[in-house]
Amino acid sequence: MKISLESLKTHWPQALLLLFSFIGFLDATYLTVVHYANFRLPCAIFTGCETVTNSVYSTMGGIPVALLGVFFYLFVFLATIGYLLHRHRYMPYILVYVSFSAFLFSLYFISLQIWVLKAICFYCVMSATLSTLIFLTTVYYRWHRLP
Amino acid sequence: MDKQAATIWTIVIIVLTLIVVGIVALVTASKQPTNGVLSLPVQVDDWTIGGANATTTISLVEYSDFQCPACAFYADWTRKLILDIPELRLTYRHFPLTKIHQNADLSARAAEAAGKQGRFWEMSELLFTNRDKWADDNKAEVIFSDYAQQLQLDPAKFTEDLNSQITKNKVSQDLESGLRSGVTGTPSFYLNGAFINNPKTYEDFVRIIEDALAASASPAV
Repeated sequence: MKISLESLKTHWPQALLLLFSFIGFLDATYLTVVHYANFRLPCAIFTGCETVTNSVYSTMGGIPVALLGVFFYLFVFLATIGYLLHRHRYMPYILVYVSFSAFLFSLYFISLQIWVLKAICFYCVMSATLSTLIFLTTVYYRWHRLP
Repeated sequence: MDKQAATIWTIVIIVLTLIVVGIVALVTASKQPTNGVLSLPVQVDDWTIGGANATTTISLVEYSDFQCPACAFYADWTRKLILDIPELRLTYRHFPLTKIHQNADLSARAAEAAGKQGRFWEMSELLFTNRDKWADDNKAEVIFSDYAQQLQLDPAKFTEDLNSQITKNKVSQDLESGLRSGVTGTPSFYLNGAFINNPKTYEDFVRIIEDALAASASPAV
């Protein structure tokens, strides 16, 4: 692979995936560190981070949801780089399925925040938005059979 | 794997590792000052007990969680303290550790709801002494209603207050003031507004309070 402006034009879905998963990785890592450190979130845009990140729903079987997010974004990021470098045939399919699960997870957690916790956390909404965008990008990519 | 791919992978792994280390360092650096000074003085709507007949009083503010075993342990001491030290005014504030205690918030609201009918301290005692019975119960609300009955509270009003927004706000206000005061765990005590480490024995607790009392009672003229 040659890194050039030309390759960015043909590989724009991958570029988007890299961008979204990178931001998502930063966001989820931050939430995970805060979760373990039990610090207060400097949450300026919405109120309720404290409620959300400290709720009983913030872990699943002892694993913080934010950490699952870290793994997901890390996977998307590394898989996209891997695909650009090595062209694994099945990678686009795997990405669709994985990001679809992440999308469902996000739906579930956003509904929890709206209807059960009645509190919204900006960092969590951002993560849900990013995983939705990742899912849409992978679907679009497969649908149009882009390179 | 060609050489360029190997280089890219190496750079990616190094950059990601650096980012994680950076975020950990940033969050650690922004750590709020640990327990120091009480951010919110005792308010009229706080739950305060003791010191009614004393001319000089000393204030002990406690941030606590009904589902926390250490809090239940210290609650026995604070109940005894207000009897032993007539000058002591004890204030209870909620600091529900909802991350680790599923009924922390609900139990705090149950005490608030009982307080609306004048039985806050009685409900607190019931909650602390029966901690094991409701701590991991998914239907703790039923148990709390039973306690309300034992205390001869109006059941309809109790349920209404338990779920009211006012009660929820009261609990989160306490939590907020605790966080601003640097509370990281429960129970946390503030003696005349200054954080004290949890005394190891009841006698230590009495001594710390009496020392502070002696200091405030004999001001340098």
